[in-house]
Amino acid sequence: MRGVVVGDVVCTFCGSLCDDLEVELEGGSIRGVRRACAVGRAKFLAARDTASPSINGQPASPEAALEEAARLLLRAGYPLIYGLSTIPAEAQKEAIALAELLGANIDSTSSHCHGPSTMARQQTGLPTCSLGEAKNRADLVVFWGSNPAESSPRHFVRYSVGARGLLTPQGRKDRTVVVVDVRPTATARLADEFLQIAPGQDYEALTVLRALVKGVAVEGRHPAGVPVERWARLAELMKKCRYGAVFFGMGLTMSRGREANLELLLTLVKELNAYTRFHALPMRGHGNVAGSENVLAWQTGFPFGVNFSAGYPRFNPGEFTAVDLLARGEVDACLVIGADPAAHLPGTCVRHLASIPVIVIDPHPNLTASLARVTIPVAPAGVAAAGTFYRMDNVPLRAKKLVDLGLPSDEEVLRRLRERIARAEDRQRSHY
Amino acid sequence: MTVRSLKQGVSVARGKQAPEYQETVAVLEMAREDMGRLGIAPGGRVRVRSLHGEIVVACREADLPGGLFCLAMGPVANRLVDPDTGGSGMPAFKSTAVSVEPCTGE
Repeated sequence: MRGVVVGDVVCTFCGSLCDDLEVELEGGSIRGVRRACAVGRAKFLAARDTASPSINGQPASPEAALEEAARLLLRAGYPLIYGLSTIPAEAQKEAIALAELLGANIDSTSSHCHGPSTMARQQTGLPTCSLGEAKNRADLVVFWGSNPAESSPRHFVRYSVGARGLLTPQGRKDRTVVVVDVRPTATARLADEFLQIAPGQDYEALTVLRALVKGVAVEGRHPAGVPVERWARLAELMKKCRYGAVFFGMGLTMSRGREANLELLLTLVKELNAYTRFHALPMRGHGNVAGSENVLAWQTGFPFGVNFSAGYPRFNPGEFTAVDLLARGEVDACLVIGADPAAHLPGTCVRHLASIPVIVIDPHPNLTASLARVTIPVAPAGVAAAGTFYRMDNVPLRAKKLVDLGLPSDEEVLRRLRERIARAEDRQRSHY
Repeated sequence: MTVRSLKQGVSVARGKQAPEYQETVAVLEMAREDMGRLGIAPGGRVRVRSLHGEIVVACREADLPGGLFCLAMGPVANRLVDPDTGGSGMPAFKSTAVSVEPCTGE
């Protein structure tokens, strides 16, 4: 590397928040990135000054774009603020304040990611640990319905499979790795044991495992499509390990059973603590999706799917969650920040989104921007703006500002939008 | 079933309008036995229908159980996804029923 090298850089691409990157800066731009995975490197190198703000597809000044965004939100009867998962905690706080001011719905991508896990956690609690504890202590690692080899590529070397820790000095040799999945994923290929279960039968599998851990006989030779002897072996591995960690993912939250699958998994982990130390950790995707739940919870008491239309926060998954609000055609305006619903929500939701005023605040011209009335480019957080991000184990880390792209931060744009709306509402009140 | 892939993650950073991303999210993976049963050649195109939409995509053999079809999460797969969340907020990203048939001339 030839330019100025900045060390201990946090990558905000995924929930692993790898904080050991080195970034080379030269002439105010990023010239190189060390230690990042392929996705993280692409994210850093793609950061650039993007197009100007726009209104109805035409370039506009930042002030005009904010004014139009405020007008559209003030005019709406039942707006939705959606996304939050790639923006810092400071900006998430601003988004919540804006939702409260407008009496709006506010939801993050969490509701269609680990929302069911969080619902289960509300029922059962979450016996969990930090990624550092898992790295230093876990001698049994189970990936259930998660595929970090594709989604969080450095998770293995930093926290789970190959990481060398205090009580795991030989890394991979000190661990047994088990994968439970419906298909032989890239993660499964690295496992000591791979249990390929039948699609949609996680609940049955977890029921069998709980029974076997307790020494209860199980009926049937192939529960959930796997020989019962292999389930019995996994139950023994779980009871006899020194310290177990199960990293669970979308294979459980998105499959038949949803939150019920997670209630059972977390109950199993609680029960395993009668025999050994065992913890569960959600494999979280977006860089600050964990932060969205933390900030919403300490601001409103609820982790996602919050509605302010009654003047106080209410929580009801299925009613105030983004997919439901859009699929039923209930919301009449949407502010999107830190997400791309046109790419990642069901087509039914996208069709409604295309029929209502949409405001997009994002560093990149994503698919949702192509159907938006107003777009406001912002500095990519962790590259051209600083802020707090929550790792998938809920440990907050400070992401740095590395370069100046001359763009405002997410927090700044949201604050200015909120102030503008507050002033307009004050004017309206004084008018009456 | 919608799934993640490393290639998809990298292509997202380069832009979802770019051909690399568009190609990554428009390939259906299925078991060899299903391809044989339906008479689909590797790389052949298939029409996939659900109650919520229809797509035409290229097809690739993958190590999957029969009857399970995978598409990278994204705008193509989402045209098929059942938006019913069953009161959970989570649509059927990994459990939408579909029919698959060979498609010629498109």
